[in-house]
Amino acid sequence: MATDSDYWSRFWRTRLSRRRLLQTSAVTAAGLAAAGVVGCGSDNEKTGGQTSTAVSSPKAGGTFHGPLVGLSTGNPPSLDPERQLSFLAQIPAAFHYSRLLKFAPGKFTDVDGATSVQIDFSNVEGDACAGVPEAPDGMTFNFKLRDNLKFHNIAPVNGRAVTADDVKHSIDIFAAESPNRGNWLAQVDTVTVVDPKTFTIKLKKPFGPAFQVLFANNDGGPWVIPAELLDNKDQVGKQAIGSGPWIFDSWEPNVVIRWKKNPEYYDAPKPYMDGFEGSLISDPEQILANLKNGTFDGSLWSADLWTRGRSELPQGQWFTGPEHVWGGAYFNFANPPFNDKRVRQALSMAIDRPGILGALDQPKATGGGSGITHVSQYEKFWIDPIKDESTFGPNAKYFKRDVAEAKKLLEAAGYTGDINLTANSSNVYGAGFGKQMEAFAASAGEAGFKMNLNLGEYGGYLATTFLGDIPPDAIGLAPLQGSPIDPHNIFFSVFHPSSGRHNWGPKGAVPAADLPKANDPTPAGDADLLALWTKQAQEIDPDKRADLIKDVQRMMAESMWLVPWTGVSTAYVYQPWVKNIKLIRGYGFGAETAVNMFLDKPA
Amino acid sequence: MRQYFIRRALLIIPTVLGVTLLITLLLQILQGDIADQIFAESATFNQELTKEKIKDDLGINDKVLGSHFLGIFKQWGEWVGGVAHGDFGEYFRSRKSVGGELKNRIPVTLELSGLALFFSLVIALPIGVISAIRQDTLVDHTARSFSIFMLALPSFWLGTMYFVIVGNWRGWGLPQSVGDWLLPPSQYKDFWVDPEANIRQMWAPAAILGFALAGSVMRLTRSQMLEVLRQDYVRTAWSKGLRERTVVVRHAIKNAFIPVFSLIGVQIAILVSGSVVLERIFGLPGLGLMLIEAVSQREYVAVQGVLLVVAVLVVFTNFVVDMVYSLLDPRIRYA
Repeated sequence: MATDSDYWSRFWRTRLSRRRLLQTSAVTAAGLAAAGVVGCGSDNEKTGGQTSTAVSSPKAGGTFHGPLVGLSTGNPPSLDPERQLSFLAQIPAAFHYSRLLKFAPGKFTDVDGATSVQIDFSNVEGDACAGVPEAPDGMTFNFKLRDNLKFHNIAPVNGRAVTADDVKHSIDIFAAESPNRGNWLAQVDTVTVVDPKTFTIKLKKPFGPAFQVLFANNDGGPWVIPAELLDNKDQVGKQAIGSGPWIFDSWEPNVVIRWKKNPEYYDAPKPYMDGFEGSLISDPEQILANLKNGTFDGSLWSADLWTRGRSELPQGQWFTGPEHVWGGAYFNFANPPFNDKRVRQALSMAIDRPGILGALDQPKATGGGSGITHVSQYEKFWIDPIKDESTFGPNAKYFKRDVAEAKKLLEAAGYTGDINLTANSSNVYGAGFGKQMEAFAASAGEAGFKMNLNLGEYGGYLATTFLGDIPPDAIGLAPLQGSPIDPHNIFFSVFHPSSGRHNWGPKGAVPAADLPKANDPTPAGDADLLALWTKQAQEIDPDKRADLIKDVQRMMAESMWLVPWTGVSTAYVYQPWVKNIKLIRGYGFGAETAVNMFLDKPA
Repeated sequence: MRQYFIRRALLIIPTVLGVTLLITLLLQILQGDIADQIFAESATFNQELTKEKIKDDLGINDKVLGSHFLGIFKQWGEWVGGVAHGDFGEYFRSRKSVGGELKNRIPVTLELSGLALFFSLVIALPIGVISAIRQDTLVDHTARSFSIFMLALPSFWLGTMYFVIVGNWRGWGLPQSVGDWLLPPSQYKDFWVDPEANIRQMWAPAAILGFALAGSVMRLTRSQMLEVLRQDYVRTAWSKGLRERTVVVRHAIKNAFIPVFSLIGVQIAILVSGSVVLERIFGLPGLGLMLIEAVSQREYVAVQGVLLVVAVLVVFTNFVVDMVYSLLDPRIRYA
């Protein structure tokens, strides 16, 4: 067996040295954007890479300039967040629309001159609603709208108050037309307007992640949109009138989206800045040049350009955090060899996850997950199977590299020679993911999995491999979900047999009534796992639910329906004059982070 | 001449119609449609969701997406009919007018291409002529090496390296006014809104695109000049004792430039396609960026619109070149 250092030195010498030259022109794509936002609290503000004292009094005025989603910026397909789920449609929505609830900052730590924020969506607070409703039975939620909540002062709503009827209408349209309505329909029984400021949402059964998945969801959840706009399908994709902190001003395709401060915002004097201009450019060199020039106030950055970015912009405030784009190798169980659990386990054991992380240029101190599991690296739910083997239990071995054991498993499954594979993915995910894919393939090769990477055009890849249409002798290898708000969304969209978009083959949803299917070599036949997924969803005690999700990880480590890859880090940079950066992961940047920021630029 | 003009003009119509039909047919080869994309983007449990429901929600169906052979021709016919009435259709998702978007984008790409052509000619023609009249000298060898250099460097690499280099301008001790011209503004400005910002944004990508084209123009200019300079009438001019400048400018260049002019016509297509990459790097909202996004988002109507504009542009340019060519060289129109 070749040693790790042998194959890594060979890998980097033969592959990456050439690619290093090209990395500056590569664009980290949608998946990385989905890594969302990281940050710190005001009591740990960073200036020039150094920890500074508490934030001074907020300074009003100025306009923030920067690429809207960093290196993954692009045109929104539409401004209608109810009907369009692309992150490029969801992120702008959080600037001008409200949700029922929103997320509050989680934990952050100091690492290596940067600030790291964990993935934590456990803290919710009121957005359109005055507070977080209590629901002792886990099913009945009485919401009260803020008294001073108004739509923007734009015709035809002209600044009128937001009512419970507006919220119900938004939810009705969401439930009828949103491609993301599945969770809502599965969980919500009724929405009842009590009075103009009060409404009740009753669930069909207790649902543990209700706040995160239903009421504060910024990834295709219900937004509060006036009926005058929402019902006008010709207009809602081009215009936005909400009750959020920023008033939509203009969208010049491929140039910029502009917002002005909402002076009637319920939490005035926030937002402190007069405006926010999200440039729609994505070229990393142009972004870096504008950061160095001081033209841009900040940007989502690419973790695979971490060292270079920090060396060229040493005065910047740098932020990082664990990967929040989740994926790995996935299969069509209709075809051998991956319909055999032992082969999937062998592939996982062939992967040198710490080696891959160590070889990538990224903020190592923040610890991308060394062996990311079947949930993302959530603070509350995740167990690191490599660094915390004792907590994970015996199935942690499936995440540890053991080439000899992997070969034994392959032999037991009847595979003694090399397994030649095409690993289908897309070129849209950019340089960082490209390196991960190459490292994954190189690592797997030691155990006999000989992978040929096929980076196809995005639309074609989505229509085929992503939805489980994977030919024999091929696998999918890619990020599958960006910024999932809760592990439930991973279990029930990527894996669950009844989910239309499940990312494995044979493609197509299995009716829930037919589950579990006896002797089915897919998740549809995994009765224990299906039961545990359902159980965690219905558990309303957060701590008990976290334990159940940890059990899901342990169970999925053994079944290995998908072989998770390593989790790298994400990165953000802000100029020293940007203050009060209370960054929160996810797509709610406009309402959760930008609203608190202010500029203290030297004259 | 009039007959030649009419014949060539009439040929434009079937050519453009053929191109549009070809575009429509080729779009059917692309895997996946917009419903696949929205289906894949859904991030939660979506047992209720099907591609058919998404199409219904979008108000589109197989007729529009053209999934049946006969449906394709019907779709093509309806689309061509709409275009003939100035209606290029709408984006599926945002319901924005494709025609309105084209109207905003065409000037950007035309300006970039026009400026690039200008840079290309300014670089290539003088060097090509000098290289020919100083054949096999150090000047000639240097110019030929330079032309190979221009041909070999891809414009996407030059564009990227441009930002790598000018991003450091503050370390060079230059005044702000110079730096403002080196680093393009981060937001595109229309020429009629802010001419200075527009030119500051445009000159660098145009120069890079022009640089890439200049190599081939320079080489053709040199070879044509060499051929013309060996013609009997040029030898006669020399023997009359005319000055070099007179021989070259008055007698040689005009005839040498006829094939070069033809090459420039062909290069319009290269310019438009070459601008795709540079528009992305420099953040210019032109046809190239529109096309890339429309293809990746499976906005077929927008793809058809952009490709139609490009096709018309290329066909029309070549028509103009052919007409001018026939004026410059009578042998063409009498052939």
